[in-house]
Amino acid sequence: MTSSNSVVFENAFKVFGELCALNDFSLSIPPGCIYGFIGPNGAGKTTAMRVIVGITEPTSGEVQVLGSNDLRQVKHQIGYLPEEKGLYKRMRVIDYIVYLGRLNGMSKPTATSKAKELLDKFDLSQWQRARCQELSKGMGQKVQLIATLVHDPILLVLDEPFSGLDPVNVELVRDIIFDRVKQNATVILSTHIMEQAETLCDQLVLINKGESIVEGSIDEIRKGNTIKIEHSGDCDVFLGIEHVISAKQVGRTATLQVSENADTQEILAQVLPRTHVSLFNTNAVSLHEVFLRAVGSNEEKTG
Amino acid sequence: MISYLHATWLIAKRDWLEAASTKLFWVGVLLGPILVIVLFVISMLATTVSIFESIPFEEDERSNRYAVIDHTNSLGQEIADAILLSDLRHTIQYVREENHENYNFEILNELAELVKDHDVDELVDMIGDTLLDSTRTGLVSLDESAPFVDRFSFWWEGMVPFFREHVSGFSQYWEVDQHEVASELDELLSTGQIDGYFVISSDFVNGEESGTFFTLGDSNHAFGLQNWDHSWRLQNWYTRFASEVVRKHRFAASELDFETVNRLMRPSHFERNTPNEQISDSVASLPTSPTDTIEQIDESVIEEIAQFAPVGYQYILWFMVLIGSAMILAGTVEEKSTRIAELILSSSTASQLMDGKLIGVALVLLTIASVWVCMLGVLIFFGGSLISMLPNVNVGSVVGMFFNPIYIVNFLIYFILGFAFYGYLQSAVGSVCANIREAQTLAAPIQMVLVIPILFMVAIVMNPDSVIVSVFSFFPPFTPFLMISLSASLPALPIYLLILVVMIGATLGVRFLAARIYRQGILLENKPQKFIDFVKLAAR
Repeated sequence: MTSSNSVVFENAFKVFGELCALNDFSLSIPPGCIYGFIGPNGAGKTTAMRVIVGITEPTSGEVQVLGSNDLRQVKHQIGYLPEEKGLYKRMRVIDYIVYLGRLNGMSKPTATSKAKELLDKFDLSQWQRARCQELSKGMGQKVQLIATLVHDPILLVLDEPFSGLDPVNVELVRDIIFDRVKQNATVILSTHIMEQAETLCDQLVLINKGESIVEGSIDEIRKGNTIKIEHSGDCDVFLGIEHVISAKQVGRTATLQVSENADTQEILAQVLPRTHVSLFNTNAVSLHEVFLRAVGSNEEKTG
Repeated sequence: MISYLHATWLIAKRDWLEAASTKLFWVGVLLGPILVIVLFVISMLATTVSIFESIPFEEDERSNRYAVIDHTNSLGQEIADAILLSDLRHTIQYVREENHENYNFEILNELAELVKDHDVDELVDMIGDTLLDSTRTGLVSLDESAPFVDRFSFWWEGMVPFFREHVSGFSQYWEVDQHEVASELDELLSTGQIDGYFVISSDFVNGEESGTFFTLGDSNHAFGLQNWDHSWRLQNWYTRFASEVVRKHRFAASELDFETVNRLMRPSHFERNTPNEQISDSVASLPTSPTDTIEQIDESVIEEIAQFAPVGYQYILWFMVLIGSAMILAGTVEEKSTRIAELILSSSTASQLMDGKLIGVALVLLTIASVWVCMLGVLIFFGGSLISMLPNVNVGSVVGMFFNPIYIVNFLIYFILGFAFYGYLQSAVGSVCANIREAQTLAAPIQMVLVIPILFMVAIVMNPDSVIVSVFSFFPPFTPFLMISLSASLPALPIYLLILVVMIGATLGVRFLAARIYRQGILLENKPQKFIDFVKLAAR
């Protein structure tokens, strides 16, 4: 298996005793994009990320990262930020960053210079000689992020990168992510905040019980068989319109369930003579709804 | 490989610097040996000078005499001759080293002139035969024109009390006339006229039968220590000469190949025994006899140090393994609970992290050991007055005995293996635990195993040939401690190598299994509940 994608999972399984953390998991992550892993707690997001960074290996199936099947070969090109962020409390900030840089193959002078540059960028220069235990939580997280970036990885794997950050730092991390993508890096991140995924990610995968349920661009995922119409009439006006399976209305907003491959322009043409339409939205489903619906249907499927 | 070593070294260096860069670490390192030395000096002074010297009857209980029942009819005399020659050699050395201008004994002045032109061996040869002959036949007259060796031999008996008092290494024991009947000697023993008697078995040279040393041992003395120490010293002293004589016989009778030499070099020994219960009851009223003083025990102290020096090494190993494995356990748990391990593992492998931590802690321990050795050097160099408070110990001999190269090499080999063996076990345990309390509970069985060799330590040194020592030497958790205890009497080379191979194999095996557990355990949320869970982790 060789691919130009940054990451490829092909029928991967990861089993811990009786728990199947990845179940026939397949996906492809193209280079230079921001890719989101979303899913409920215990879905397998962290396991998939650990497989990508080579902390653990799949029980079976194939995983290719940066074009290599041997994850040890590409470890130093990956930057990983785990969900729970710890620091060596008694280490100095600069030493900690340089230490991780050197573990990723950098020379000491290069790592030191790069660490200073990033500390400056993150407004932490004055803290470089401080011990990690003296930092506030937010500063600690910034140091963690710097340690992830210090060796200029071409693949960034960030597990819940925004958790615990204040709005200012959230913006800072978003800027860093966009900046990295501009430099042709691939960013994989997991998050529970759907709005963030919607605004940040180019593509995402919805994971539940170790399975990839939905994968694709945000538009593809949100595009469903639902139309939202804001209008002046009641729900009955939609009865008898071709391709409309059902209609529900809350206030002035009606939600139509339409058949697959229905032509939305044709439906609009049929609706207009019946009521005064102020909004017609074919991209109507939020990621949150997709998430709930997909997880629900997956639960039903697996019983 | 270089990349593997680079990351491992970075991890090791970080762990080492983190521990060794704190003030608390250095305070502990510097104060630890000072505390040990203070306790050691106090205990030495307490056991050898202050307490027992202040109890007057203690000194009166020794006769410094012994007897020999010789079933070979010749070996006893040969041993007596060997003792005499040893005394002669010490006397000549004394005259050479003291370099007095004028002795009270004219014959010693003559000897002093001779030692200027002859070496010690030459003079021992020159005088020895005549001296041995004179002690057997007894010289009855002195002709002043007689040759020096005859006159020296004539004066010998008369000067012995002077030699005993002044010559370092001169024997402090008298052999009473040879007896054939044990009951007579038991009587002498019970009345305190002798401190013990040796029975030389008829097949003593071949070693098929050991000799026996009958003594009262420790009885109703203050704390039971003084006489115990005294009778052991007599036994060790006589055994040394008996072994020397027996060795000569064995060499003379054997073809020299490896196995033969190995057998020839095996020391002889006397088993301790007590004639009967009644004798010990009458010991309290022993008559006054010559005593040995603390100035005269130089050689005995050194012999005992030679025998017990490996125990010191074993204590050091035990301390290092105990402290080191606790550090590894705590470090692993900390890295797991803070999830730093996960971050490190994204840049390295589980084996690198485990090996690096082990090496880092080993470096911490070696730092401690190096500082202590330096402190010992400073103490020896500048602490003369402190050491002089101890019994008449030749510091150079004691230090030489302790820093025997065989002990050091053997210690380093088994330090590495023992520390790695227990360190890897603790890494595996630490990797599956979420906090230090869980880890300590889970590691308790390992700590208990670690204590067992300490319980056997003195018994091992006293009887290195016992079955339990042989069996336990091949049991990897105990091997490092036992082999270090046996530094003074290591097994034959093939056996030593076999034990070493078994230990290396066991350590590599533990590393292999620990790495498998570690790799998965460090990411586990829940601790394995049963031993079988560990087996499953290792088997995955």
